[in-house]
Amino acid sequence: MRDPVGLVLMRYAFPCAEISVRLGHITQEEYDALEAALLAGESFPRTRLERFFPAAVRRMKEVAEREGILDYWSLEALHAYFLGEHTRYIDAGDGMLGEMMACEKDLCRCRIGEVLQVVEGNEMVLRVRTNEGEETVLGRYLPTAKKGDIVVSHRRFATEILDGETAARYGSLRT
Amino acid sequence: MCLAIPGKVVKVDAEKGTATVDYEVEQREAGTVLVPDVTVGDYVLVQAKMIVQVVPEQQALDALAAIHEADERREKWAPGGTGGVSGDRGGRDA
Repeated sequence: MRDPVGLVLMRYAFPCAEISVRLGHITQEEYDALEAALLAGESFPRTRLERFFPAAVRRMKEVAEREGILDYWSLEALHAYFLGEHTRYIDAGDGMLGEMMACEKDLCRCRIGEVLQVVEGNEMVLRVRTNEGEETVLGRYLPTAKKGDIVVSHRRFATEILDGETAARYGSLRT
Repeated sequence: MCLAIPGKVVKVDAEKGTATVDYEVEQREAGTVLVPDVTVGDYVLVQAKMIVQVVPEQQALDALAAIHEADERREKWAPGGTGGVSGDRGGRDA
């Protein structure tokens, strides 16, 4: 299924999905299917994603409403949340974000950076330069990333390649 | 849902690029490509079978203590319920 919003949301949220399995909100079979879909570059149906990741979807709705974005199920709303407001939700301790360890709060922030190097091996790893320095992130679910791309990392997973306009809006990189 | 449980590294296989992480109730293998300097005794966060962060020891111990405390409260109010670090912690987030 091709749903660009669903697919990008899956890339942002999947690193947390193991916790949902542990909590019993997602079955192991659903988790495995989510990962298989990610690896195939396909989205789950929107209704299932809204059930799997209700907090993220709620925040997308809230941010969309505040910013006058008509459709919360859009890349515009997704970016307004994850790239614009996610850190503020973390700092405010919204929902279970408030229960994270300090180091996990930092891990959970979305970072925008330029791919300096792609290292192919058992795992595809990207060296990324952000405004906070260089970091290594996994490219497992973003296999099209290449040197020079501007990407987002969330919890050390590359989540998407940004176009120039979106990158400029949310993350002016220092040269 | 961004509420990972720290585990303790009990074995590192540098050749395979993996580590064995102990969660008290079970042990799991995870990749170390993002944290090549991880050593036995480190507390770590694992996502999608990869270690993504080494956790400062005090933060890990505080988190585990809070988890045990929550488990004890749950046991008190729901005898026979599932406890341990893999038990229900409620809520979802991302």
